Amino acid sequence: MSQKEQREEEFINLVNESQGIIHKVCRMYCDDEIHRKDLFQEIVLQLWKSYPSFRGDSKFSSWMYRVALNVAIQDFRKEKKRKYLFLESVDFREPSINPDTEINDERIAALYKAIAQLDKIERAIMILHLDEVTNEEIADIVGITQNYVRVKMTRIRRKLAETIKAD
Amino acid sequence: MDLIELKSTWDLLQEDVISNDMVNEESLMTSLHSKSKSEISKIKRGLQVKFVIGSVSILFAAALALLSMIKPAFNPLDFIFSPMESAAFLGIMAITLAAMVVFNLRAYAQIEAVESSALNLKENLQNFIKAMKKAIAFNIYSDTLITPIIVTWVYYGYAVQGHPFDINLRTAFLIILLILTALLSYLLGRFMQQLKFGKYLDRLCGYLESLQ
Repeated sequence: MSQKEQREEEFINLVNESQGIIHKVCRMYCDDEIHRKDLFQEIVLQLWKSYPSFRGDSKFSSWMYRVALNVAIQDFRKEKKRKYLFLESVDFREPSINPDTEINDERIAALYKAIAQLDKIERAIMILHLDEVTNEEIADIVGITQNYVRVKMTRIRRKLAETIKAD
Repeated sequence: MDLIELKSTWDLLQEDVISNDMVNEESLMTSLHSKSKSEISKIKRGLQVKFVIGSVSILFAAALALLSMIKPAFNPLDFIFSPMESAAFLGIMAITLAAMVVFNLRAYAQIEAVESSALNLKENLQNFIKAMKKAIAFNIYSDTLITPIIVTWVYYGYAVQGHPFDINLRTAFLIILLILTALLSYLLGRFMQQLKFGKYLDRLCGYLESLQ
């Protein structure tokens, strides 16, 4: 087995153990099955590209979250918009969970609906919070202070409360 | 649904993920060797194509310029230029293309650096936006450089060649043409890039602002 193949196998084993993280991120940032598969593939690809940067000084899951969320935040659905003579302007729609998607469990549907109200950054913080990542780690993954994480969480709670009230 | 309820539902979602979404190692391996569909990958592929075309064109232009100087009988642009003018034109093209290729390489390297890093969300967004802006600037300035050179030289070949170089209407028009073509190429390039990536960059800048 070549060194490259060995490295690939080692990487696949690590990702396989924590692939739930990628799926959860995909669920929170995609509006349909096809998009989810595309984003999953894109995240795995990006994880592999940045794998040499993983030195083990942080948890593999934190590193994985960082890369997966970066890819999800930079990912938009393309939409052709206005036409200028023969040229078309391209709009980038923010993919969001479709609350009308048929989900067997009502509670999961409600979770989707709540998350759909948040922007991409708030969604990232929310996912980390729900996954019981500490504020210190959230601050490290997002690149903001712990105080700002708390401020963001307060805003998110308020936003969610408004959504619930509106329902 | 409050946060506590959301948390319990999140656990439910984890179970749902485990039973429905998990893929095997083979699928992971397939994803690993797939082609990226991201915007930055498309920009990267564009830069790669321009790099290949640019490099081949440099070699071609430099070889033809050299041949025009060594063997005046071999003049590839005989229909508009004298051998010396051909050499000068092709030489300028080769130098301009070389400058473009260097800029291209730098933009490409910056994108590669962003892709191979695993920075936090804020730093990654900052670097990603910078790299995209550099690649977009490359696309705009490469057109701004090349188009005026070609247009002006062709005009020179037809209208000014054979006349003694003097400050007259022809020469004035040559200079105006150079400036106008550069300006138009720049504006058109900017407009095209804005159509393609303007909204995308605006959204990313908005996210970055929310993290400041």
